[in-house]
Amino acid sequence: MSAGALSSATRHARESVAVRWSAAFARWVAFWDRREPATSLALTRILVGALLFLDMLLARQKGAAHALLTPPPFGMGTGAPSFPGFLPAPAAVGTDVAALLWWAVVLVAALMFSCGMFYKAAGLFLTLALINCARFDPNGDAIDSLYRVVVPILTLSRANARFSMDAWIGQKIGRPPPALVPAWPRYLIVLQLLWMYFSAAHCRDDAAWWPHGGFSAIGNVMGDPHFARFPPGSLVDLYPLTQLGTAVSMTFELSAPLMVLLTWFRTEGGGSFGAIARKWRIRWVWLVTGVVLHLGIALTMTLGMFPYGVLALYPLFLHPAEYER
Amino acid sequence: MPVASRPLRRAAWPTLRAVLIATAIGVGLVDGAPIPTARVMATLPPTLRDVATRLQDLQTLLLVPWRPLKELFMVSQRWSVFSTTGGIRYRMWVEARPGSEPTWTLLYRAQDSEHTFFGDTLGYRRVRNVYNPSRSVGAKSTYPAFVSWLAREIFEHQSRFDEVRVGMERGRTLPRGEGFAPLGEFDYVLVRRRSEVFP
Repeated sequence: MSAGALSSATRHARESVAVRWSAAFARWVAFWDRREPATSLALTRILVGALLFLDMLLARQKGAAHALLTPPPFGMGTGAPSFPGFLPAPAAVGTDVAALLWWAVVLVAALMFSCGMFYKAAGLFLTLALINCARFDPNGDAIDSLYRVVVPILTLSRANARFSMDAWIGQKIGRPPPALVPAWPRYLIVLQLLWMYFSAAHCRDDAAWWPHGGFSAIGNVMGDPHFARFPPGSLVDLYPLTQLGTAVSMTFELSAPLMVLLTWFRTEGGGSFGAIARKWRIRWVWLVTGVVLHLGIALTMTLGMFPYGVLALYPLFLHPAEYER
Repeated sequence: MPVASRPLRRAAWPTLRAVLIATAIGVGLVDGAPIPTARVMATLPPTLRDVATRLQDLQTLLLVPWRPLKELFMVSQRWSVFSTTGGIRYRMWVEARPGSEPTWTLLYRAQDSEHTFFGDTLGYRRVRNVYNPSRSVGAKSTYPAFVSWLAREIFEHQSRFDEVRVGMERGRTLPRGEGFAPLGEFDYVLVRRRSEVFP
């Protein structure tokens, strides 16, 4: 049917829909084009780089760095080829030079990333090294997967515009970094983190996480010999506290999507929901709950850098203006 | 015209970026969609199971173009963090013996303060992830290599031993946080001899 055959009402309705879609798309483009000071991104860059640096030092100190990456008979790696293929991969020979090289790349790139020194190059090398280390040793934690998403996004950001060697050198040579940088990397990483929480909650098909399982999940993990920090059964008096922790943890994770609205209505808008959220500081309650839960995990379970690695992303939840106060 | 092209490029980038971000979010949501796992599907009534299977097929189809990126970055937007906690758990034992002796000497056992040989390394998260059995797939594919590597380390540090045995003792987490009850049965038991790891 040609456009001329449509009634004026249908044509008007179509045009109206097109205008609405066009306006919505323009708002979407404008949203992702927002700019802000680099404070939140810079703090996260420092923490993420520092944690990866420390984790690599720890791997070396524990005597496992090269063994994790090297294939049998000298290690427990997969022997997978590197990406791109022309780069060296740890091989089943009597030398661990390639494994040591990849370990050193993560170590040095993470330090440079943290310091904001040759930031883009450091971020590129760090991304490449994290991808390859996961190929050679695929048994990482959720934090390793998360950082394979976060580090490339941070690399694309201007997180080096503050608190960095690049910014300092730029000032010295008369090319100061911009006062405002694109905000989209912060938004995207926040969305990623919120999705991780929400997904973790709805992927839990074990009754122990839910009321009908008696909220016993954290108590169970504390009884798992491979994950418990204290001997299983030694904290039996604290069991009700672990039940509370399980319930709070599930509520916290399932409410993660709400944090998008709480952040959106941080200063204004949202009608009565926004007003109540601001009055009762629900966004801050959610953030403090997250910090307490992660510190609780760090205290009671031997999960390595997972709790600290997630907390390293928390500076992104705050708008840079909130640090200026 | 050269004069007009620069503003046009400036205007095009935010639009392209917004489209790319929308695509990334959309792909992530498809990838992380809460479609029931195989274990949950087994408990569903046939009609719901069919729906879940179709959704899974659709998800696989939609993700086909993005599979190379997913495989490169080894990421999934389905985050399983302690999705199961109770029931059968494992406790690793590491034992060794000289070739002439029938009895094994316990060198390391998880949560055993009297047998801590190499405990600092074995407790490191990246090493633990290699040997800790997964609820869904059991022993990791790199577990045999881990046992060989551990045996090698033991033989290098303790020259009196000729055989190393690594196994996972099955146990049950007790209700109300009362701890872990070993069942005395072992899974994933592997033995390595000196001649095997020092060819």
